[in-house]
Amino acid sequence: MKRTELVMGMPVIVEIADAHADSAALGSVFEYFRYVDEKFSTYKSDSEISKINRHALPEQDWSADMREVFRLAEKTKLQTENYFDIRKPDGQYDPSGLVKGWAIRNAARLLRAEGFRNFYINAGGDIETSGSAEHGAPWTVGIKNPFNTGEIVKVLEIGNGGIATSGNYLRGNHIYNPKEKEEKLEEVSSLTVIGPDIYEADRFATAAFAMGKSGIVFIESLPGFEGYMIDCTGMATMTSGFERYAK
Amino acid sequence: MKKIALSLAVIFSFGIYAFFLKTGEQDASSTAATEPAPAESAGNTAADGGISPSPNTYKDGTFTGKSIDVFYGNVRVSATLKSDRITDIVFLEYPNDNPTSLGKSNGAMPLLKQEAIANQSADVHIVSGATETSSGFMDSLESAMDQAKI
Repeated sequence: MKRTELVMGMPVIVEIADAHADSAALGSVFEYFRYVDEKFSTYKSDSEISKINRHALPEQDWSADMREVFRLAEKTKLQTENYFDIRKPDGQYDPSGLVKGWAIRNAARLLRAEGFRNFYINAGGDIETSGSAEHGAPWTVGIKNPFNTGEIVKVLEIGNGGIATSGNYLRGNHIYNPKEKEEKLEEVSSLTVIGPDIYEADRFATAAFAMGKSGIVFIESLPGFEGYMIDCTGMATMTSGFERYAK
Repeated sequence: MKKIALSLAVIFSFGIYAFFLKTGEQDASSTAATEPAPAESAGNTAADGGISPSPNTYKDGTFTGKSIDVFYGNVRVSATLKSDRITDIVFLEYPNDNPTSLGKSNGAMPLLKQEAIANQSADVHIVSGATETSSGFMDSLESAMDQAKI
């Protein structure tokens, strides 16, 4: 059973392969994403984060979820040497870079708590998979071709885990400009990271992408994470354990 | 469109420098560059022509960043900058490994396998791809770059 809805400004797709899947279970996931959007959207003036940014909500009145996100943001900030900072130069907070992976992971936990074991949640290309598809076949995840987003350049079988891709397809389009060929050699068009869950995969994909070609070495250095980097010439570099996920 | 793409590319290039340098001024050694940048790099800079932002927004030289706790160990790098471009990054500390150099010529990643990407016509359940870079991310990057400015 599968459903797609637009939430948080992106397509969210949920599929549950368990026999007892019903529309109420699917609905609970979308309901959760809408709850997160209402609370954390900086585009909604009545969201909790907007109230905090207007100094209209004293810290002692923040929700438990808001506190947790701020705590995780602080932790990620330290781990990335202040690089990942939800506090913008103007003093406003924008936790959206962290909230997406966090929300997907929480939604997956919600489904597990409801007794589901075989499903995936895909929010804007960031994915958490659990178990397998119908008839026990593994979930297959395709990595988008950054130069032709209608194509798949790699097919993976993840089992239980998270997979996130960071990239800049806008720049990728310049690969075919012969004048800029050399210029673009060192650039990364997309970086896909597989991790223990989508929250971990997403935040490390974001950080590693910003490291340029060193990013894949950074992922190599993290136990439990694998990566697949596509540079602007169409060459891919993969971590040493990546191929065990490749179909 | 092209201009936006290029400025993103430039921001991206400096991101790693800013990221690792960060508060390099107080923490770390910073030495003047004594060697010319690799020819390839110089050529690239020239090829940018009038499209690049004005040069020397950032200092030339080799900058050693802080030791960063990456959760599973520490990473410490030095980055060499020449004419506002990163010409080399060297890992000085690195979890589970010896110091590794990541020169752009790239004898760089001996352990990591490479392949040319090719279209797979397979049906898949799910597709992973990048959504547009979040504004918070770019804001953060810009604020980091501000600190690396001369």
